[in-house]
Amino acid sequence: MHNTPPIIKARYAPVYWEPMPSVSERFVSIVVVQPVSAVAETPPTARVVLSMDRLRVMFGRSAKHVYGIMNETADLLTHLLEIGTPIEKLEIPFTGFALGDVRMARGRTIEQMLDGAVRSISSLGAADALYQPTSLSIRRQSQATASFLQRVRREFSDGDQARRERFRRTLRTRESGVAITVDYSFKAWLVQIASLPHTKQQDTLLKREAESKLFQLQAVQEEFEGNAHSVLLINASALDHPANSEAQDLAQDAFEHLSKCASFAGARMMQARSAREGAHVLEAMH
Amino acid sequence: MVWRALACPYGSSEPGSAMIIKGLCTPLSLATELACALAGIYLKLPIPTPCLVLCDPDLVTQLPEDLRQRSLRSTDGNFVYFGSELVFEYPTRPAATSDPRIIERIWNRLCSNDVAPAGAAWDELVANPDRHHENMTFDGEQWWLYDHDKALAPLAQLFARLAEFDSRNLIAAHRAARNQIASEMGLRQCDMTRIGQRSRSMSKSSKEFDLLVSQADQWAHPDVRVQSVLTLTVDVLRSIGFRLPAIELLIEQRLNTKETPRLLWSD
Repeated sequence: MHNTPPIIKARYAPVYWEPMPSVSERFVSIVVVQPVSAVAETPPTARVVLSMDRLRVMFGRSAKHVYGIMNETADLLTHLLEIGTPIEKLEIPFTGFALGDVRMARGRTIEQMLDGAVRSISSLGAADALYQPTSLSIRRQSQATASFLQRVRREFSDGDQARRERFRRTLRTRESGVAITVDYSFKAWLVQIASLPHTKQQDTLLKREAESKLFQLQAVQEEFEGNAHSVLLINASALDHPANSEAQDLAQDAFEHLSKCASFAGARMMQARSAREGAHVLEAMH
Repeated sequence: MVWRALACPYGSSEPGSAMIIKGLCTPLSLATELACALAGIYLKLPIPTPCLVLCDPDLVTQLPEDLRQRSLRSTDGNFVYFGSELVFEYPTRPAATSDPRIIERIWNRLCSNDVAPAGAAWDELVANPDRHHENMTFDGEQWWLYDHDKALAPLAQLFARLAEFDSRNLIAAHRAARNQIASEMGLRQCDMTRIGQRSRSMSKSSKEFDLLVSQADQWAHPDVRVQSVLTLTVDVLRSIGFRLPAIELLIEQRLNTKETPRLLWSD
């Protein structure tokens, strides 16, 4: 038996896109989500609901442009939501987009809630599109990790600027001049953060993310000539409230896989099931 | 007013290309827009390919009466407007908003892109005071600059006297009241030396630019009113050519003008 996870409730709304002005041909391109339940640590977000494959079928060679515009719009909307703009007051930054009616979704996991939200507003959209990296996260990490990192930083820093500055530092290797961003670094501690998957759709992307971060840790470690403590901190919230036994197995398998990878890369693997636990792990690094 | 339309090459029966049509009404604004777009493309700026478009009045029935009345017409009665190639099939541009958070965010995006230093040098070259968040467009990958009909505007009366030394001097030394991209970059503590680098590479093109002017000088159109726009276009191009060797100096003057801007950190 698993613990009964808390219910996550969120307000959400579709964002329509009309590619050709004044012809009323439009479809749902983005979902904006604003969690409302007190237990939900999820930050508000705006996500593209159409996968690249779907857009390629619909728009051919223009698909990557369409995807770029939607991502840019979603990023701007996420920013507006993060600074506290209510969904109803969102102003859409680009022409051709329009906000739809606000509705309410609920779920036992964020993924379940988002899946329900997307399926209730779009016949073309698919929840798996939400797990694709956005233009914001495509540079470094998945939405799951970006969100976890943001919460750990908030918990750990608690308004202390010096502590905040330990996060997302970019180092440049001396010989090759390669720029590497480390999620947290303090004294000899180098920490990269990755996440365990909640669903199959996330599995490959999150494994790849963790592997690439381990590679980066190895590269930076060489700069410290062996004096660094490399840590892969795993966001293991997927193990805490798995939706079912299949999700539990998926997260457990990923955990074991990453544990082996970390060992190969000479890094310690640590886990945190919540942002608070993540902050405690960092506290222990003197 | 701008709208999307299909336009085919003059006198041909080929299928039309998708264009954005801009309802400019005077020969000067048409010539300035056309010359700036040609010059900008020549100097490797992200500006859509321009053209003049002849519109059959019967096909554009939704145009406001005021615009129809003011529009330039060719001798056979067609409207003469400015056209830009659609850089992307479904163009989108920043919305007309007064929300400072959205405007700031759009400027943040542009200033973190290579287009910013190039655009700042370019706006200085054509003395364009009219850059704002709505006359840039994003195609999902890249930012594009357009809307240059107000560039070099105070110098219009000098275009007819380009042979005079004093006119040339005035044209070369003119500075617009503001350079919005440079100001926005300054607020965000961007690397301003990149504007200088871009202006340096532009000024190196001044010799080749003369070639563009001489090619444009050979354009001939049977319609006398269209031809008058083309002739004026060559004058505007020539004026931009006069300014090219001085662009580094103009940029230096702009950047050395000490202001105490409000600092705005980008995220």
